[in-house]
Amino acid sequence: MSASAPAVAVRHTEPPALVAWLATTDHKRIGVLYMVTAFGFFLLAGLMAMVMRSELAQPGQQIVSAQTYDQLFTIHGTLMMLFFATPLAIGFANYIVPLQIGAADMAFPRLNALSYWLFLFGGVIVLLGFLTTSGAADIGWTGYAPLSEVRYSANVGVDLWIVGLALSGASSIMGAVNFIATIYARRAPGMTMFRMPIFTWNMLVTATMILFAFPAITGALALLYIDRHLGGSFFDASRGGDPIIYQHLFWFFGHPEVYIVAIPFFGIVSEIFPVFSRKPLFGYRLVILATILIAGLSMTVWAHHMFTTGRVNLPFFSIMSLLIAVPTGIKIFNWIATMWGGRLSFRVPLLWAIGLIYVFTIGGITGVIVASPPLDFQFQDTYFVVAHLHNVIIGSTVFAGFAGIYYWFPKFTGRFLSERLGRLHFAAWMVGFALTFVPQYQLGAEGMPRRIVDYAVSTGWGALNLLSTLGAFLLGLGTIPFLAAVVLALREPATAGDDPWGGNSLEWATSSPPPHHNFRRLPPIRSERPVFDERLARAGIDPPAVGVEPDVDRPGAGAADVAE
Amino acid sequence: MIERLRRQPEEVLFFARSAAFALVVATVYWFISYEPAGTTLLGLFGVASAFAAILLARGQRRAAPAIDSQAIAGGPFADESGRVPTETFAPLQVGSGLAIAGLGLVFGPWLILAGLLPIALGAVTWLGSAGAELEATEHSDTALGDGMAGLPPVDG
Repeated sequence: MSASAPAVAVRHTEPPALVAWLATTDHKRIGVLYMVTAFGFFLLAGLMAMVMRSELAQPGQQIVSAQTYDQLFTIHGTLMMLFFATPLAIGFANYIVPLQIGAADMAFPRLNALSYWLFLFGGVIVLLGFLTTSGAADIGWTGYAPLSEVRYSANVGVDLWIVGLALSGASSIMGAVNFIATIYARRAPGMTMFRMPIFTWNMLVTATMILFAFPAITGALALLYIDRHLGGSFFDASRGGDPIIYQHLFWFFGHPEVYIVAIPFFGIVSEIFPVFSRKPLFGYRLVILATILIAGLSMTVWAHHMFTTGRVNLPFFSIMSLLIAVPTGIKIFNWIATMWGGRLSFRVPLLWAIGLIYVFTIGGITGVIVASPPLDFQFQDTYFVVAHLHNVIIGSTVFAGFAGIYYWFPKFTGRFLSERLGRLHFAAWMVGFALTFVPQYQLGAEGMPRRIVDYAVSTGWGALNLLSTLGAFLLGLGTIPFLAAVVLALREPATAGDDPWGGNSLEWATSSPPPHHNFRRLPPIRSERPVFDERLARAGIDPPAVGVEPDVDRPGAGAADVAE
Repeated sequence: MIERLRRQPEEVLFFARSAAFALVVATVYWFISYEPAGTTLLGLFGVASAFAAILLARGQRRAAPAIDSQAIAGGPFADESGRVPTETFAPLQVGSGLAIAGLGLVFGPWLILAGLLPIALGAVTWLGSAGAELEATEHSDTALGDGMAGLPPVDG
């Protein structure tokens, strides 16, 4: 299917709206469903975080009971990691990957829809725990045995948590198979592996990691269920089991999971930096290599979460963990080098992408600190780790997630999100994030443990906790401009056009939003930037070998006419 | 062997390199830790990657004659048909059935039985439409060979 190939016949009749969404197999609709649902879980998890921060704002504060607090931090972590970060990435990929490779849909459209429904039902089942008399799961998002064994946690909420996670895990594995099959089998002719857009490459790597990491947690959950209800003793030391095996299985999934949620978002900002710098991505192949190295190494470092168990080889896991900093540093260097000397256009997507560099780099540096066993022994289970985790996860998923939404919203809907509200949103999050998590590093260094509902006045942690709570509320309030921007944009006429930023990859070669079959025609694919190549060809300009791009027909990326 | 590996496309090498990496790390890990759980996990990661690489290499060899020369030179493994199915409730039915059956693990086996009904309904629709799709593809392939441009969508 190239420029000269016959067009695909489109004879799709649109059913009523409700049927169109409930019965859809269209990757674009499924992508939107994923993103909206994941964002709903994000808002819910954010509200839980605000309740928890309110509880900790002052020593002696009693807003929720200790048991409810345990449930809140368990479900907050579960929602953020498994029902927000991963599905948001899958949502973006669902919408964008088939477009970027010039495909009409995913390889298995019905399986794709099933993946979404399993994810949604999994999330709902986890939340159902709040409706039971004993409450939701209260075992932490890690669900460590023996705490999660029935002897210590007999509540139904834990069983619902197990079933919900198992469904969501199955959904992720199905999604991974679908993405690998789509990327391998459905690329348009001419699109070699090394002409694939960087986001698609990142999704291929992510899908491969899901395929190898998620079965470990699914297995752990199955064994835990057998322990709880079928007389098993896999993790029960009193009956010959070994709770450390649970930790191995969990973290063999859990640490790659950090990169499963980060790598797609690295892909998003790797798309944004070149467009808003008007330069090609610096070191395209090197960025791919770095992504593969991060993924490979991340599969070998799981037990750095288990240093203090005394049952793991400290030098091996410490060295492997420190090594990850190298490819991650390469990526950050390449993003900066992409901007270096470029004609930068500080539109909202670029602001969020730059925000990722700041926030994620702090998370990376503190990650190097906790990768060192002597320091990890000191910081284990303190607020230092909480702050580090949030710098890594929020830095990648939320900052790059918002960057991706502002960047691709015109493609999804044909409309721009308000630049002014976007800047307000970004400013509130940058300040709010620092205010929330910088004090937590200090609290951790002073020894404040995570997962505590209260602390004594004599600890002197009150002031820093109050600052952290104010920051959390700023983050909550800072999300309102984004919601307002979405509502306002959807009420406006669709005027963004097909290629508002002057993009490089194939999603910008079709209408906004794209038709049911995605493309009526495709430009010839001779590099990783086919749309850019075609733009140059139309202008009769030879592509530059290196350096800043010639300024041709790029309406949005550099223009001063800020869409409101 | 190495020469044969070098001739493989990037799609296969991606998994082959992943297998080599995991198996080397698993071996090193075993000899410095003698820890069975981690070695098993790393080893399975390597074996699974190798399995994927072998499967892809074999699939590619079988599919190669059917793919045009541009695709072999670096394009996709299979052809891009452009066919997409129309709306169907089958995934929702199977998904809701699995969720209900999952709740049966918590609230009692009767829910597992209740979940089987939507699963069966969805599976019948799904398999029926997959069969229709296969038939339509075969028909379209013949039609395309006769000069017809484009492919109709498939119901269900």
